[in-house]
Formats: sequence, C-alpha cells, structure tokens
Amino acid sequence: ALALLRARPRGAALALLGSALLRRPAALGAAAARCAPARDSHGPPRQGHGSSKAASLHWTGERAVSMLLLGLLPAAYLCPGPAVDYSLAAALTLHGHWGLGQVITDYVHGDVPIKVANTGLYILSALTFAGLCHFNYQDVGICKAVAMLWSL
Amino acid sequence: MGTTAREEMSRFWEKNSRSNRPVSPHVSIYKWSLPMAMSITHRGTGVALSLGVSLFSLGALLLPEHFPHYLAQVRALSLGPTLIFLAKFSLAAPFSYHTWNGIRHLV
Repeated sequence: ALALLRARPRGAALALLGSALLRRPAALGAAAARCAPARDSHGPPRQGHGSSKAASLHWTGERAVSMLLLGLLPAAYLCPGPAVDYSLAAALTLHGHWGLGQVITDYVHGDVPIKVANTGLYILSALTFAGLCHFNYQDVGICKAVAMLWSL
Repeated sequence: MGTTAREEMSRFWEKNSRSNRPVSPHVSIYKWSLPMAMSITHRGTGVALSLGVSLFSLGALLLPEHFPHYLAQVRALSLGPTLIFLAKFSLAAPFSYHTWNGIRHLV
C-alpha cells in the first residue's frame, strides 16, 4: 500500500505534465526544482484574459473591516450609543459573514454544495444583521446590553 | 490562454470525490505545532462567536420580551457567583483569544 502511495504522485505528475503541454503550465509539476525557475521567468505580472483583482480586493476589505471592528471595541466602552451600536452591527455581521465564507471555501467542495452553503450563509448573515438592527432600534442596544449583562 | 485556477481546482475535486479514494491520515498523524493549534483555535473561536451572535440576533427577532426582562429572569435564578463567573469567562475567553490573535494576524 505504501508503494502505491509513493507511485501515485509520480503518475499524477506525469499526467499533469502531459496536460501541461496543452495548457498554461502553472505550478503543477511535482518537482519543486522545476517550479523555481518557472517562477523566475514569470516577469512582470500579466493581467491577461480571465484575471481579476476581486480576490485581492476582498482580502484587503477583510483586513479593513477587521481593523474597523477592533476600533469599535474601545469606542463601545468609551462612548456607548446608537452610532457605535449600528456600526457594531454592520461590522460584526460583515466580519462574521466573510469569516464563515472562508471556512466554507476551505471545507466545502463540489459546485452544488458550495452554492447551497453560500446561499445559507447569505440568509444567516442577512437575518443576523436584521436582528441586530432590530435589537438596536427596539431594545436597549448592543453596548448597553453588554454592560447590563456584565453587571450580573 | 488555458484553464483558470478555479477550473483546475473544481476539476480536481470532481474527479477525486467521484473516485472515493481513501484519504491518507493527515491531521491524525501529523505532529501538532503551536502555530497549527493557534490557527485552528482562531478559526474555532471565530465560528463559535459568529454563531453566538447569530443566535443572539435570531432571539432578538423571535423572542417576545425585551432584553431586560430576560436578564431579570436570569438574575431571579440567584445563581452562585462561581457559576456566573464561569459563564462570563466562557463568553470572554473565546472573544479575547480571537481578538488578540486577530491583532497578531493583522500586524
């Protein structure tokens, strides 16, 4: 069984090299040594057909929301009120939505399960945001609620 | 020209999930390291906190009474200080871990 496991990567590499002759050779080769010179010969990044900056913009957006949320924590302590309440509702929901989205991307595979999971996530996030806003409007608000809870 | 990364990934997953090949042990045999453990804890606390927030907001939408009412009910239970401390700790600990480790990721 161990011999099979070791033989399979070689076979896969050969199959991939064969298909790589027909397609753009990405970092597919099993031999890492072959990858290094290929990476060097890349030159300036080409924004060609089928590329988009969406992923990297998403990444930047994630960091921005994380920092915003971090800043809201002392704000919630020092100036509790509706402004911080609603900002917290928005930042918390978005941060959680994107975070859970990454978890789905990592662990859910297959076109249909991915679509189902992401749809469910959208619904959950929408409900969460609605519920938090409702709480801020009709009830005491997030900052006050945390303060009250901790006074227990 | 050629395939996109997404196409290559989905082709890989379609072929491999169809063949039902056994997966060689990975998490069960690989030696745990601190970075690994911290990373998965960050993810675990994140998911738990997110689900907690969602549960709270669903409660805000569905439950009939307002927050002070339910808080008064909990207060009326007259739980011991130890239990209250444990409850607060179990809320604050994952929150703190995720926050501080998150800062570490941002830096």
